[in-house]
Amino acid sequence: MCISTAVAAADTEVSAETTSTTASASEVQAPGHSSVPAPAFAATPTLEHRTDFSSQNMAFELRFGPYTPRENDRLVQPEAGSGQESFFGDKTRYQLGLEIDGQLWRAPHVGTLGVGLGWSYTRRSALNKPLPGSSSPVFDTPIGQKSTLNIMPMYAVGVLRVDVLAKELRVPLVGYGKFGLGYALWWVNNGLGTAHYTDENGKRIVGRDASVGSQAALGAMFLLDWLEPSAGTELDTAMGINNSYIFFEYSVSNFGGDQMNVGSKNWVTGLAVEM
Amino acid sequence: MRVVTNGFTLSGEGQRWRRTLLLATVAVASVWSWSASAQAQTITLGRIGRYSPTASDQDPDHYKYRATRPWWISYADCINNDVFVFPIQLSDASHRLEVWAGNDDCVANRGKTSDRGQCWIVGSAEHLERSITVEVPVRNVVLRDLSNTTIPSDLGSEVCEGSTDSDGNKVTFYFLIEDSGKAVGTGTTWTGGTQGTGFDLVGPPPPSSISIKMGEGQLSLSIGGLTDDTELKSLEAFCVPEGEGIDPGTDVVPAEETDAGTSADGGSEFIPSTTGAAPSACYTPLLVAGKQPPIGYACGKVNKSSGTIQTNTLLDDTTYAVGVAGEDVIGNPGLLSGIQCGTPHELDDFFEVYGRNGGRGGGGFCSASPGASRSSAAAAVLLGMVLAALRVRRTRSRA
Repeated sequence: MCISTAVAAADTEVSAETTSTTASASEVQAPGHSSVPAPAFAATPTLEHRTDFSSQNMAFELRFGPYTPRENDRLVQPEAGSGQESFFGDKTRYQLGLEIDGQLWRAPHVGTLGVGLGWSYTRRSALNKPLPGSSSPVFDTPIGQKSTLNIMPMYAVGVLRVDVLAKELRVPLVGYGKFGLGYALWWVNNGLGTAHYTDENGKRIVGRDASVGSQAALGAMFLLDWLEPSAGTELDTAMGINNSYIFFEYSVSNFGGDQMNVGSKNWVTGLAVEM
Repeated sequence: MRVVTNGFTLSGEGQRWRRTLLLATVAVASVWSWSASAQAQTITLGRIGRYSPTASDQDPDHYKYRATRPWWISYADCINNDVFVFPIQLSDASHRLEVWAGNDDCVANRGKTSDRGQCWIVGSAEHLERSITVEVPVRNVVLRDLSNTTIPSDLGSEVCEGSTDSDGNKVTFYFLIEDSGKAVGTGTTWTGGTQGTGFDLVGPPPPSSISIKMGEGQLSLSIGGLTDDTELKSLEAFCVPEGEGIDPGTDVVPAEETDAGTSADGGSEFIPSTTGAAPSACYTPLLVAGKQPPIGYACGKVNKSSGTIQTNTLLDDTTYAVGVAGEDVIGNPGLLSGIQCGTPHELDDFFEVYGRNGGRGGGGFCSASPGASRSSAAAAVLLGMVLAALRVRRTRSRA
């Protein structure tokens, strides 16, 4: 306080002859005030002030989440009350996937509209089972052979990402929806090779196929740049990454009809970047 | 007549002395010259190779070299009596060359009549040209005869048997010049490059326990009790149908019922029998614990880090005697583990259960799936509309 007063007193004489753009003469002359400029701290960059965005044309997602194919619900589930487990049991299996979007059009004050291509992979395994009613003494020896259902879901979807909140209102959330065509390759290994059975017409059916259906998702993305704006600026400068997100999505795929329904309803989370 | 040479005056007597002196000088110079030449004798090894006499193609360039320890001698190499080929360039062409093997100072030891340390002679060449090729059969190396100074010849396959050291013997080859029974110079050596050379004819020890689980057309073997053997590379299972190889006239099936117990994971676990024979439930004389496995009955192989062997396809409802042996990094098979019984049996796999319950689909990735849901068609149409709209929009904006 004493120093401030002294400085203020010293400056009073100077300020009487100069015009300050920051303080009026009466303010300067007021006790405790100074015409000395405040130290210049850099202003924290904020989203609304960022004008250094590089062009944004695409998004990339690294995806992870549980995956429970619907087939298990309908065809291989034991009868209610039988006390038996489903073939693959109740253990949660996971998928790992990628998605790349082309953001083809920016709707003013809404967001981006584009198309996306996705790929993921999941598998589930379980021990093969004794034949129904079998009581062979060989079953004194435990079974060590597994069936594995491999699923490679893919999709082509239209993607609407509503980023008006983040762009214009500084709320770091982006909502999005996806809808389009789903396609999944699947194959079954029975422990010896690709599984197969012979149908009632004597035709050998091999356990691999592709299923086609629909794919939809609704999700929200949290803009990580909001946590560390300077890092976001550096990423854009160095790598052209405009925004990075963590996202949560509810995804639904359905492959009904005369095909194995390896679609799923599940949560997916992951990291996304827009470039 | 007086002859003045270099200030000396020689009489007739002196001339005789002069001739004698000249002759002696020439003789000494010749000996010195030869000696100097011998001391300066250099031996340069060319590109070393090997071949197998049993192979149709004996070109060393076409020999199938192992990626690991290509210059080591394995049991199979010894049985095949592979031959090392050493192309050699000599700076002088008039000496005998000997090839010694050992892991000692063979330059110092070779001249000794006894106690030559760990050095033994494995090959030689006489009447040398400047460019020669010396061939050394690997059995000469494996024989490791420390008492003999003559070159072994035409050794039989019996030298490959009886080795017990699974770590093997690393050796250095010495190429030494000799003249009239005396060593000349220090020769040169070859150590087999970065991975060395030597001989190792014994495979790794077997796992101390195996546990069998059954499958359809297959058995699953869990391996336990492996020693921490750095030489171990892989594990191989051997499956012999019950009764295979039994001579009704001489073989007697052991009386005990079984050697099997139950392992912690539920599989059948081996409890060693005193004889090593297969249990009576799956007896075959072809599989005996602690003996060499029958190569023709190999039924599955895995890397040593894998604790489980899934066998190749076996016959359902046939009882097999099963044993496991290790294999080391140069392909030596180890001895068999304890023998276990296992019987593959038909099982239901997922796709069979799925099909039996009315599941659809299958037949191959390219098979038609006519029953795809209506939602997929709607999705396809909608996606097409989005793409078309975006294209129109982009075209207009460019215009």
